[in-house]
Amino acid sequence: MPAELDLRYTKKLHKRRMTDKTREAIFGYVFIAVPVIGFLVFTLSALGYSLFMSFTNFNPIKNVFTFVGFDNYTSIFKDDFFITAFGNTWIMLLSIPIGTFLGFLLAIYLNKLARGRVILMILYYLPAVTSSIAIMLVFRDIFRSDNGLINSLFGMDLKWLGADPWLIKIAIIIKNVWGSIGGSMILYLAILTTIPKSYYESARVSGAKPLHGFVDITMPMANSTTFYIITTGIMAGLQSYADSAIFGNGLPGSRTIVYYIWQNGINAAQYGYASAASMILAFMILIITIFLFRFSSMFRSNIK
Amino acid sequence: MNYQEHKMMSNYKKNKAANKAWFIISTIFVCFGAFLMLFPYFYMIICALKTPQEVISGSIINNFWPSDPVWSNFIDVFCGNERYPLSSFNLLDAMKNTLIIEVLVVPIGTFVSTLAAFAFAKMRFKFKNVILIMLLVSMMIPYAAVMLPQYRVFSDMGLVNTLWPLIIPGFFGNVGMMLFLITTIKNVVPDSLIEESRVEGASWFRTFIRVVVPLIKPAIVAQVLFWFVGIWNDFFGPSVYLTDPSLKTVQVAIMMLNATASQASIDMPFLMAAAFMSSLPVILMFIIMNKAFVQTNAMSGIKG
Repeated sequence: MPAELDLRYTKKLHKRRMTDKTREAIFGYVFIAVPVIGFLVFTLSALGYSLFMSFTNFNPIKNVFTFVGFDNYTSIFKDDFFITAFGNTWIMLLSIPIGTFLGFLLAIYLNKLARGRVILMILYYLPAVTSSIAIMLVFRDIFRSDNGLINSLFGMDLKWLGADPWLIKIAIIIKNVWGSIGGSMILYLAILTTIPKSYYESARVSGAKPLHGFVDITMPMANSTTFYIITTGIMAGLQSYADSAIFGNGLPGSRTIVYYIWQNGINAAQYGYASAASMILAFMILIITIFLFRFSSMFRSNIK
Repeated sequence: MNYQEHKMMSNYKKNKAANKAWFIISTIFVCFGAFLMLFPYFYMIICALKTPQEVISGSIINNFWPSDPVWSNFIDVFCGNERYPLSSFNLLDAMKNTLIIEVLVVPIGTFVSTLAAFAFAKMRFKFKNVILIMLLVSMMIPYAAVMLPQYRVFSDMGLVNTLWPLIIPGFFGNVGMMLFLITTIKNVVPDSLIEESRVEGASWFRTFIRVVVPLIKPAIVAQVLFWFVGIWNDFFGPSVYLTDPSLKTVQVAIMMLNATASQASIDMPFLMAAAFMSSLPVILMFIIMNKAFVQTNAMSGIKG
């Protein structure tokens, strides 16, 4: 009798556990449903629509819609404006390694600092919470050619915000380095504070120069952070638009890929053409991300 | 003390002296850098205190300080003046519009993201990782690739020139926030606590509210702050969807002020006052709550 009861009990328990499992799965799906629907509606279907559009010459203003195959893609690669925008976008990414490196040096310094660390962190991080529009307005005025601060200070007479394709890019890079030091500083500080001081002490007692401690301990520890900053930086930088539209005011030397898409898409209503350009951008970001992940795993396994 | 030890000691001393020199040099650099970080804000205020003529006339070096500070610009950006009546620029209205978006998007989006993060971190159901990777990949898709279809759908629904296109996508959560909270929940909430709550008969939802949310509150607060700042400073989406003057968000209002100003003669002081006042709420929030900002960034760095 007790054995039978026991059996019944375990059977019942077993049954309950099964329903528990299903229940867990059902609630799991319910809990993730909203973001997944958002993804399907706002990202996946929109992406599919863009891909589809990129093979048409759809233009709602001219009211045309025919399939053109890969025509958009071939004409984009023949378009000098796209080639320029492509080059501009990549050149302006130069601010990322510079800002990352300066942020790294700053983090090393702050990590050793006993007092005043918080106030310096706040100061360097301010640009990250300031609107890019406000920053651009100030830098536009600082780089002004007539009696602008930079020109007056260094006794130059350069048209930073003019037709020269290089000066505008240099100005944008300087502005973006200024804005990005704080972000990488915070991320590096997070990892540097986790390195035990004893690592450096033992290196120092054994007679190693400070530089060795830096190369052998600090640099390898910071690798994954560097990877994170560079990857997210490139992904954001390839999508830069405000630097052309606001800071560069549409100057040819400042036009980026997204500016090109915006100009052809929203402004000129060449949806098909702009969609093809956006697909090229999406593809480019995908390739770079895959490459960076491969590269980083190679890099990491070498260290170990 | 034998020779070897002696050499080590002198090396150590030499290093110490060198370290001190390095420390002084780097302190000078870091302080100068901090000055450069703060300078654009300072420049904004100085410029806002000048008269429009003062800004463009003569060398900025000689005319750096306003001869007779005009404080009225800081009030006029809210109340309007003869040149910019409230009908053309109304910062208070713009802030109200931005806050409408914030108040609707941030609480709902945060709830949705946190709940989904809990399901991904702690619940068991099929295809969980596949769905998660899918959402992760969606973060790499550039906004430009989905912007045109989204714009078209919203315009077909008659929602262009309303705040809805900026609000509705937010209801579906924020993948970046969700990924961050998944890591946090995995690190902070032990499985045993959830099992305990389940055994006591609490539903999955109740377990989420009573057990998980209190434990990850700091992380949620930090993410909310970040999202708030992101929406406040966002301008690409708003500039695409909003052309009606009464609907402008803060950044679009400033941007349009700049666009109209660059055609006629520029009222730089007014523009600078507007840029400064529009950044001030977020900057103050950051300074007051700097710990939360720094924490979230630090943790996302470890994740990366």
